[in-house]
Amino acid sequence: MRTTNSMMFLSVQSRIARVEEMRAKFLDQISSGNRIASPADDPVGLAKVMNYSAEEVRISQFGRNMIDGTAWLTAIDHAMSETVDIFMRVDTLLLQAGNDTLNQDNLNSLAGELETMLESLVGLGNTNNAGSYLFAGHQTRTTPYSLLGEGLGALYQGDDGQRNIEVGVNQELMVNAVGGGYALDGRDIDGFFKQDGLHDADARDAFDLLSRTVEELRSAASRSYQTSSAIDETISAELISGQLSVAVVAADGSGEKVVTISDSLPFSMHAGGATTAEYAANNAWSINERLALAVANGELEEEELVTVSLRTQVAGAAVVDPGAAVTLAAGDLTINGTAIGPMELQEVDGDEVVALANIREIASRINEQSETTGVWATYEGSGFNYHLVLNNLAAGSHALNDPISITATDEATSWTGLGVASMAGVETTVYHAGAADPDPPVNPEDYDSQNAALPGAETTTVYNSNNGRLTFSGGVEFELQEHTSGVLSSSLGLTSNEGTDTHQAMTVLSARLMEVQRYMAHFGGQQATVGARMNRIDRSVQTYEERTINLKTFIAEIKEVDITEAVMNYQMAQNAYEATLAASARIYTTTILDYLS
Amino acid sequence: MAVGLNNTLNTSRLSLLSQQTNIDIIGHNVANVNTPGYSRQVGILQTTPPLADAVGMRGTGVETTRIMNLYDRFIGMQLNMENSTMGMWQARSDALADLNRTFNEVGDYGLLPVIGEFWNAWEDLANNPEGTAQRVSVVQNGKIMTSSFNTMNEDLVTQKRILRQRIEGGVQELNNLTAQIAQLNEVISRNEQLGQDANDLRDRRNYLLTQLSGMIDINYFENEMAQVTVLSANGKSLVQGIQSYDLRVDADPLTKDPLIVWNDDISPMNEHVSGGEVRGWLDAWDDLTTAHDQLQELAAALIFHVNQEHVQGYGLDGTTGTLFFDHAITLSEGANNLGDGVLAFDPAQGMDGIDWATLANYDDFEIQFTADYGGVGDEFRILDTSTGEDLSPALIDTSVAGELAIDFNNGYFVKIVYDPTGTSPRAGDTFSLSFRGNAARTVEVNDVLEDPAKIAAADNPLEVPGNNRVALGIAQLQYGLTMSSQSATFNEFYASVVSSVGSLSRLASSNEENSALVAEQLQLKLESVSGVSIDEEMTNLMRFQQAYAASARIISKVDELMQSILQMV
Repeated sequence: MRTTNSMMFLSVQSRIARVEEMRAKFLDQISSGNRIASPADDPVGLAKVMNYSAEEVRISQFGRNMIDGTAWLTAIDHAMSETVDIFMRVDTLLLQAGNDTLNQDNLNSLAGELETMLESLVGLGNTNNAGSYLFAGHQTRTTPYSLLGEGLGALYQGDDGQRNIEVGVNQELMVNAVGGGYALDGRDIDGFFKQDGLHDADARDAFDLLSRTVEELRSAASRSYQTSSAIDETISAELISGQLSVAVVAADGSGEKVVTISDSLPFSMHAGGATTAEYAANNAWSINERLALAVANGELEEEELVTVSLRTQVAGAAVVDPGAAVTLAAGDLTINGTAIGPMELQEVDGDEVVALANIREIASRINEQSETTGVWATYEGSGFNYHLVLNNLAAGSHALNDPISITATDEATSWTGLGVASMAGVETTVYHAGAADPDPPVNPEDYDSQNAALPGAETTTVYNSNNGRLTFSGGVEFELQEHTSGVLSSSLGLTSNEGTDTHQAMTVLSARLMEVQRYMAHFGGQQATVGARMNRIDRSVQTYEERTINLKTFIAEIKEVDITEAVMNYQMAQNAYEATLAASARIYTTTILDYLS
Repeated sequence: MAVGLNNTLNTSRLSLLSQQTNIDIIGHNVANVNTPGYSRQVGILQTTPPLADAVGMRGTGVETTRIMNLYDRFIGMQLNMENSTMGMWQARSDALADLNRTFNEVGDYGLLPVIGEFWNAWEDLANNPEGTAQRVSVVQNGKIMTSSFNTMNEDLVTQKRILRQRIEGGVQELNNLTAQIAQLNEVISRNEQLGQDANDLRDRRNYLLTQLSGMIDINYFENEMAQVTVLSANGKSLVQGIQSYDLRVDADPLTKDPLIVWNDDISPMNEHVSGGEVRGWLDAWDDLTTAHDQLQELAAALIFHVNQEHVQGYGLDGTTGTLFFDHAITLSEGANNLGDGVLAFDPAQGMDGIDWATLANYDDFEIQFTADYGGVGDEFRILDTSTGEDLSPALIDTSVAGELAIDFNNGYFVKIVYDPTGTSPRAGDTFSLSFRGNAARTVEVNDVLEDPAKIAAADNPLEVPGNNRVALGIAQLQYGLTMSSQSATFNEFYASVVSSVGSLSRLASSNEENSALVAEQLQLKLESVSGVSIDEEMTNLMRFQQAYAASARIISKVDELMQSILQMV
């Protein structure tokens, strides 16, 4: 082939350009340490690197999340350990208190110590981490627990919000301790805090427990307390217009016994039983006497223990149009004669949140008036069933043992407006403050006569005498848990514990001791849960550390250059470059002109 | 006729002339050794017609009959074809290199880390929904992200603008080339009809053809008048005889895409252009458009999903219904609408015409009138232009004169406002609503969130401040298969965009390299025929020099002979 000057120039030029380009590329790789300088260098590899580094960033965020989570969980774990410590000490104290040789002074000093512990317990319940309360649910900026009066436990102002952090892709971990956690205001969480729900004397929560125990130690009411240890038999009953029939059915379904109470009862009613409505209101007394009569008549066995729980609801009120707003005028709702209101209640149309807001509104209005009414309101509930809970504060002008009277003049409208369309009204639960009789009779039989001497109740009044509890000479107990105005039209849930064998008399203290132990077990369990969560974080941290190292390796493998190889490549390119230059220089030094004279 | 010394003298004279011509040609060759497009010339030597005498046919010397240039037109054509391919890849690869820089996620400063930090800010807020610092950080990271989108968008728009200028400049240059070829056609044809080879002018024309083929794929042939006819791929002549025809660049009225139009044609010849820089630029334009659309889609998806979560949450101060991102949803009327209807959001409905909570997607929509609007409201259909789905029937309200209110039934409430005494929408009128069209350009963090308390982390107003459900929900959007028909996360989608930009750029540059190599080989092949070799020329020079010297010597000898004879006298 004929070779010309331009050809040599052209090919040498393009070769030098190519070699230079290679050299520059390898030099760039060496100096940046990266094999990839732009997406074009390795489009697929870069896409992988992008996904890997995104994962790396995400994992480092999980790490940050878990540091936050660990801070919460450690603080909770710490608070729970201390709580268990406190309960262990309480356990010891109560064992001491059970010693019959202690006099009231000794008991008082034990009570003093318990009171201090109660305060520490409240302090623990108010533990906070970096400004957020740990046991307040979502209300992290509100002090969750505050002590009410003596024997009244603590008021909870948090909610049951769960705080979750993200510890993995779409994996969340709860880092606070609500909802099965620390201690809440009487709400039925994990079926624990309400105990068996039968005895109003049972503490609603840890604070209530300590609070009551202190009061009981001081009042020496601790010596007589009866509880049933087993419930084998159910008595169901109907009370309509003052008629009560009680059916006693054994657990195996045999031996049905029916006791009927009616207007024409052959025994006298207690306290103003002129009308059927009043009979109904005073049904505790009626039932009491009727059951006594039943025993006398041989309808019930002597010594047979019957525990009666009486639950009522506001009589079926007309349903207000769903979605209608309700205005309570100043006199529409009164507590102990003090007007609560006026207030504007929001529309409720199947809206849980608005219903809860309304209940909160009422509670807060009642609390504003608590000095005068002597009643403190809180709320409880889950789902759509929010309950307004009234506690007798026994403060201000209102004395212990005074009745709480709640009057809703425009009952149908107002109560219905609070709830949701599907409910006829809002259930009003009245807890009794557990006041003990200042001068308790020694014999249980004497309670009967004492109670009988109490003034008759009016239809709209609930008494808190002796925890609403009556003790009948035959060992029959009554518990008036809930009561509101109106005719009793709902069924009575009655339970009985048959046979003296299973019945065991206990002192208040030993019952409290059992409760303390159950709380300890509960907190132990909770602490274990928290511990398990911390372990999970530890494990995740480890996994993520390994994963991060792996990711970094993957990224490096794709993205980074093998320096040795790059240096070799560079060296080769450099050699080629120099060789090309040297060779072309040689070509151009000689032409035929050199040989022409 | 007797042969005299004069004859010998004449023969030598001719020889001297011919050798000199050839030395002249060598001088021309050497002078043009570096001239691009020059093909070497050789003088064709031929004996002059012999004289017959008694001895036989007696030679009368030599003459240079023509000067020929050595050019292989088939290699030339091959080279020009390859030149078209190379020009195409070169132009595309140049433009893609810029695009590649915009989407460069190799370092730590790409869009991906910015989006990652945005999600992380939400996670931090979820860890501490009470915290003001975390809220401020969410806003700040949101702003960094939106400004990244704005910048990338601006980058792409600038690249498109530059590309358009390049296309316009290129076409201008192309027109110059065809004009010059036409001019050369005229000169060459005139010269060669006089019987002379117009070698240098042909070289020049060949060189222009090579340049032209680098710009656009052409076919050409020479006619009997020595004029080349240059045809574009769709058979439109660019040069015909001494006449050249210009191309021009128009813009598509809707998409603003550049259109290459021949002479006075109306319809563009874009799809017929299959090589040369023009094709490369058009391809690069499409690549840019695709990348830009994907960026818009990513921005739109982020806006849509984050807003939908955020709008349902509650701030520390109980505010709800707040958008996290603001951006312009573009409403426009068709360019060829006959009616005077103007599309607007219906501010009485939703949030200024949009109900974010029920907004179904971030698609673009078009209202198309199939008949003249007569106040009934069944004259149009709504088309989801992103999916091609027909959205009708919508809910309409015609109760206000001059207003056709349309509820898309998917979260949008718009109205077409027209002059009741003028022209209501006519058949064929279109109105479009584009969520994505300006997403990357206009996205910003809602100004209201300058008050960090308004950032919605909670999903329940009563559980403020501890509730973090919305913050968690937004942070978890990063795992959702939200893109590419629910098959990719935001990250994966963006990674695939970057990867495809990289692949295109890689393809273009490796093809450019390949075709450059082929072109170089062909160039060498052509050079091998047409190129000037100095060594060769020098050798030839010596050859002719010696012949010249010899002829001169013969003349001097003849002179001596003449002297001898004259002395005899």
